[in-house]
Amino acid sequence: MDKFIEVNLEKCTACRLCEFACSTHNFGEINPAKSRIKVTIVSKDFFYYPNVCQQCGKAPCIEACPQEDALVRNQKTGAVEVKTEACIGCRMCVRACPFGAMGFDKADKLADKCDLCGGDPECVKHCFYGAIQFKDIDQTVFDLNRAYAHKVKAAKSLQEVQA
Amino acid sequence: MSKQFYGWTGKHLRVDLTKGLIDVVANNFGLMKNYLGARGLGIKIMLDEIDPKIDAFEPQNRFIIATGPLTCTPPAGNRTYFVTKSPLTGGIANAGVGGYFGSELKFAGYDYIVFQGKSSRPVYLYIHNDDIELRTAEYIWGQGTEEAEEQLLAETDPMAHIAAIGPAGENQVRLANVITGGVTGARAAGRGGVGAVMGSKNLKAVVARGTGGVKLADLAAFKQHVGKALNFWNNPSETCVKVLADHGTIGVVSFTNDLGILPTRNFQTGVFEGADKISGDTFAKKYSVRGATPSKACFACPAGCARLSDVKEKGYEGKGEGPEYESVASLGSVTGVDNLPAVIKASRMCNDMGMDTISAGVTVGCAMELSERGYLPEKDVGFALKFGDADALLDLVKKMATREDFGWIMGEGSYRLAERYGHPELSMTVKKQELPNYDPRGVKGQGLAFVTNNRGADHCRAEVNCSEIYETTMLGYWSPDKDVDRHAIKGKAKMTKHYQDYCAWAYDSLGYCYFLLMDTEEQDVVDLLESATGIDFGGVEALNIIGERIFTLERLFNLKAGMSAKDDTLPKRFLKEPMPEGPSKGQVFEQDQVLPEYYKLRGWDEKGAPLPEKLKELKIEVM
Repeated sequence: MDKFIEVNLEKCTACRLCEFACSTHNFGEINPAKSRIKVTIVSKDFFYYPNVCQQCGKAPCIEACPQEDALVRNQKTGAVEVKTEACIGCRMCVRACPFGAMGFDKADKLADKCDLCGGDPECVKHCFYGAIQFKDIDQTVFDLNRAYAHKVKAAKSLQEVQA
Repeated sequence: MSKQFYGWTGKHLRVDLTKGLIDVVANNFGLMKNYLGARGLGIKIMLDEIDPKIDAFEPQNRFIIATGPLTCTPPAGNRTYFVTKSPLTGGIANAGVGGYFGSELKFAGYDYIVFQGKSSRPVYLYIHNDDIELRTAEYIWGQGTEEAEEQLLAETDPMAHIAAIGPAGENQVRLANVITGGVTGARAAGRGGVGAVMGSKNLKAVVARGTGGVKLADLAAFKQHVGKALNFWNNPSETCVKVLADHGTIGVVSFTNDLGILPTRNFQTGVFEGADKISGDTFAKKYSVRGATPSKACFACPAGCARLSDVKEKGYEGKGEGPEYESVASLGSVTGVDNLPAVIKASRMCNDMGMDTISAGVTVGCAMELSERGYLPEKDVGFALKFGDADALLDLVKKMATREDFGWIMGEGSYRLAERYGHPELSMTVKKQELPNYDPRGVKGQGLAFVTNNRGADHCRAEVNCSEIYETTMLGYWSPDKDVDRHAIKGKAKMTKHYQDYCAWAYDSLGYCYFLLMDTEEQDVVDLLESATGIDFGGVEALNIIGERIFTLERLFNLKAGMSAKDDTLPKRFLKEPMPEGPSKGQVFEQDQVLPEYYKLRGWDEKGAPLPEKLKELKIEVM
């Protein structure tokens, strides 16, 4: 499966319900610091960014991991998962992630990351405005493609008007 | 035996600013159960610890920052309350704020903080989980909330959340508030001058950063109840909350103007000819960063009623959060200013200076009327002050906060201003606090709430207009086949009391924002509370009695502070001058008909003092 959590930051209101959903589902308490999705808020730029693992195809976290089987792709969901029995807590994956989306459980001292809740992410269910969506990559490509086409169409009409 | 707390964190902080001492203290279980948190807990501590007669700026005044057991939970638990003795009214002050601050305080591990004493130098309190310290704030003293916030984030932790005062609080302006989020993320604990008390204690800010968790007693059940409470949201068609999400509260401008209750030129009329120019539509088209879509939310709230504005017009340029309805009406229609960029700038300035937009706008409106009627000499203001003058509005807002020139008296609020010039009747206040923006001649239940709310004229402590004009099902008064006549006085005493008692516990003491629960039932809130805390509170009736107890304790505080029945009155304007135009034309507020009925329902004597039987019923020991 090639579904992943797509982020549309222009729709995020920084309500952080995703952090509530993630931390209560995975840790049984309301704890944004532990949440595997985190909303970065830069107020002065009106910038709100829900940051979550993109389940990369050639995942830098897996590449950086010195262990054989600490970070493993779940073939059913497509998620890169932490196997806590094999993880040694060296944090190489944390440093390797280009998004800063790899987490670290300070209590266990082990890597901790989004596993797509087994294929039905809780955070997405709690997002009211579609800032995060669980989508197949084909759908994302299609949507972006079409949005771009509409832009071109608008630009072409403009040219005709000017001509 | 200590008990496990759910919903609450179980700990709080005691800070003695005079001695520079900080104590971490375990909560008293019985206290939390009986007073819940936030506003309820605040009044209990105030009555236990200070003599209500003291001056608000004396060091022994307490300054309490308190969350509720549902702060940091959906659907709308994100509120924090600032409780102290008000320098504006002389009675109790409790100012609520949304945003993230209270949630962060709980993640750090604390339900509330009680400050006492006064620091000899400007300080701020930095809380990072178990590490708590008072640090110097000398280098940010004098700064606006935006700049101070930026500096504090850089010095402490970029993930921290901050409650700070601006120059208005430092200068002990009686309209000063506490701002969380600076200007671009502003949420205000607005009313009663709580920022001035913080300033009097030389406390510039509280910075909180927490990485702990908050546990609920029955998480699965709680989530189910959240789902039920949000059901109306999933079928949003006509709900009030949907309107809030799409347009923000600024959408209300056209609505109240159409009803003829948009306060205009210091409440002389309820119809503003310039309403279209300051309306939600105009704002969405020209200045809203995200147009008419949900823009910015508080913690765990799906509504996202806040707006983000970016103004490019020369002289008014800048970015900020807001403005909200109350800010636009107070700084706009009340002053007769229909220049929206100027109104937005005034609102931004208030947020940066740390000043309540409602009180600031109504105070400027009051000065304008005093001036136009010839009671306020031109030489005192420095120029000929008239309604509709945008430059004057901006000038006076700034001076009010800094106390320069004419600002020295403006910063005292409209009552003290109007009294000084011999016409206190032109101050649109109850208990010296400025009216929010519903002309009481056109919403009588709301008017009665203005008269009787303990913190002075105020809408949040009893939003009776949810039944009277907003057509929400809150408390069951309005329904699609049962209208509530907003001009009627009959039945409003009971309605107002019900709203006041309910708000006292369900919103103000649990830490909920009422916006999200306008179409939910009382039992829904009980379910949320009981599943979160694991405590059987005995249902709606029992909790409404807790609400009534909280309300009555505040009343006792005010009476002890020197207030009496004579303070339960709207300005003469609303009692004697019929509304001159619009759908509420000819209406006055029939205070002498409704107030005795209200006192009776409350179990108070004619002087407005609770009778011994009532105190006994509410289990309040005679103080």
